[in-house]
This record gives sequence, C-alpha cells and structure tokens, in this order.
Amino acid sequence: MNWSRFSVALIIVTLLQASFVDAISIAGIKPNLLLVVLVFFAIYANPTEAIITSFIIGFAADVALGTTIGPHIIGFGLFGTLLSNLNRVIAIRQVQYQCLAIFATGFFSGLAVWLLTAIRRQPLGHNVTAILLQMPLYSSLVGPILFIPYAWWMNVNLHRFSRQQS
Amino acid sequence: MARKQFKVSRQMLFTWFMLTGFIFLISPQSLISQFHFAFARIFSWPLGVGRSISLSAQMPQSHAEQFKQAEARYQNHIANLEFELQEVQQKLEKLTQMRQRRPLEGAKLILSDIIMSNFDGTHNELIINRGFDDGLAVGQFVLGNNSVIGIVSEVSSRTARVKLITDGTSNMVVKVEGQKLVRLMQGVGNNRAKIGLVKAKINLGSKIFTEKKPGYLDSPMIIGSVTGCLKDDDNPLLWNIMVSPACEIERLTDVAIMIMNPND
Repeated sequence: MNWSRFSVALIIVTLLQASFVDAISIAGIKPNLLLVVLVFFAIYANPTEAIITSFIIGFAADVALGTTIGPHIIGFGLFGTLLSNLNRVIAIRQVQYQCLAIFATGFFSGLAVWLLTAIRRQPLGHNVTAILLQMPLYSSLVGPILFIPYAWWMNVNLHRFSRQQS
Repeated sequence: MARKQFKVSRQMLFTWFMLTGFIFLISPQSLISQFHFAFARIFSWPLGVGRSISLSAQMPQSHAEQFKQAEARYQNHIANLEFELQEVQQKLEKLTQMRQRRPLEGAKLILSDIIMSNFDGTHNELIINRGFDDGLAVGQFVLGNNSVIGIVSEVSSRTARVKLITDGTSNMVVKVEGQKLVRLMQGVGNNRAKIGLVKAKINLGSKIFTEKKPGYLDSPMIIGSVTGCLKDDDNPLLWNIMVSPACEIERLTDVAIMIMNPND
C-alpha cells in the first residue's frame, strides 16, 4: 500500500465530507464518503492494512463529523476489521455485494457511534434514522461508483477476483 | 547490518487501536475540541471554499432572494430599534431624572467568517475563524443579519464554536413581543426552537426577543418569530410555541460577535 497516496486521498475525502457533501444531499440525506473509503480499503487492502486504515478513517470521521473523538474510531475500526476478515472468506467483488457491505457496515458502525456518543452525552449530528438507514443507503448507492476513482488513485485492480491472503 | 523488522500481530494492532479509541472517548471535551479546532484552522481555506460551493449548488441565489435577505436584515434592525425604544420609554417613565445609557453603546462587533457549519438533526453549530486572540469568550452573543443566532460555546486561540439557538442543547431566556412574558426557549433542531408550556396562544408572526444579559447583552435583540402554536401533549391547557430564527442561518457566510465593554 502506498501510504502517502492513502493520506492524500483521506484528506481530500475528509474535506469533501466536512464541507462539500451538502451539495449532493437529497432531502437532507447526505452520503458518508468516509464510510465508502472504509469499505474500499476493507475489501481491497490486505488485513493488516485494513485494520490500520479503518482506525485512521474512523479518526478522520470523528474530526470531520462528530462533536467528540472516539465513537467513529471504535465503530469504523471494529466493523472495518470485521469486514476485512469476512472478505478473506467471501470475496466481495460484485457490485451488489459491495452495496450490501457498505450498507451493513454503515448500519452497524452507525449503531456503535450512536451508542458511544450517547454514553458521552454529546449531541448527535443526525437523527437515528438518518444515521442507521438513510446515510448508509445513500452511501451504498454511490459507493461502488466512487470505488473507481479510489482504485485509480491507489493503483488497485477492481476486477481482480480473489479472496484476500492473510 | 541488517535492520531488524518490527512485527506486530494483527490482534495486537487491533487491541492497540481500540484502546486508543477508548482513551479518546474518555478524554475531556476541552482536549477533544482542540482537534476539531486544529482541523478547522489548518483547512479553513478549502473548507470555506467547499461550503461556498455547497451553498451555491444547493440553492442558487436569485436577485429576489438577495433582496429578501436584505429586507429581513432591515426588518430585524427596525424590530430591534422599536424594542429598544419601547424599553427606553418604559425606563424614562420610571426614572425621568436619571441619565439613560444607550443600549449597545459600549458594544464592539467583531466580524467573522464561517469555516464549518453543521445543521444536521439536533446538532446545529458553526465554527468561525475568530478566537480568544480577537477577544472572544464563552457566552458572547453571535449575530447574523442583525438578529441573535447563537452563543459562543468554545474558544481556542483563533477559532471558536458557536452553538446555534436551534441546537438541541441550547437554552435562552426570551421575551415575546408586546408581552411581559419571559420564558426559556430551547432548540429542537431542524432550524427551529421551542418555548414550552405557555398559558395563552401567541399570534403567528409575533417577534421573539432575547432577554438582556448583563456583561453580554445590554439590550434585547430579535431572535426569531413565532411559526406555530401546538397544544402540549401532556397538558392540553398549555401551548408549545415553535420559533424560527429571524434570518436564514444556513445561508450566512459571516457573523458578528458582540463583545460588551471591550475596554473593561
């Protein structure tokens, strides 16, 4: 993995998520671009890299989206790692499975974020429906399309059909 | 000499990162805010550009809308002056012999650009590019289009967080136009606030003013207007008054922070 390319991509996506994503919101529902990046690296990076990227993306999500730091680190780190492990058993290469993976990761990580934010007694950015359903759904629809520029930037072959090696 | 490779197992790596996450989670909010402020400060330019593009893409502003905004700004100013006049007249009646200090006479307004904004759900806040180096402090009132839109909630050296009046954790003492009723207004998110458990129905469109707060605001200022009156679910004899801000906060690109008596 080229970590400098990963850093540049992450900074750009974090800035887009923090400021620009309102422009593509539909009825107040916004996609979570960082969730899409999380799933991309969980699928296409090796397991060790997937763990590191999941936690770093979680940190970026907390800085860009949250009122506190920690919930996204834990939520994204946990479910990004689980998805990476799942990808060693079932190769997630087809678009419909990638959509499902983004939705499921968004739902479960959103649940974790919601619970951890509630523990910290901090206001949550969105309502529960938006976090658990609307945002993951929108992200899952745009996710596989966004995989193409990410794959180009990271020099990843999207059509390579193989399960991850441990 | 061959360099020894430092190898960590995946389980250990995962455990370390999880532990880091939990340490962040239990860290004090003042420390956590430093990360948010640092992000906003370092990337203030791209964030500002992104927000401008986002605003223009969302709602392209026509001339009619620009006039509407300007009209709202003047209407708010007129409402503030009328209320000030009313207050002064009341005081003059009581204290005719005493010299009256003009409201906002000692106030200093500091203009600030909005770096980041958040209007999702009940979490409504702004991050602005002024901090305690510019004289900002927690509790100061923030104005947009001559109306109160929020309060400074956290300050760093060059950035500050503004809790908007519509934020779920916002509480503000307010007064209804033409009434002596002083109530607590709470933010409920989605660009609205609520005055709970009022005995009498209030006319739609009535203006709501912040109550003065010594050291922060010497004179009431317009904060919003009544957009709905709903019967309370638990006590149908009482009303919940829904209030919308006096300006379109989402469309603001800059705000003014009111610093009372800056030379003190």
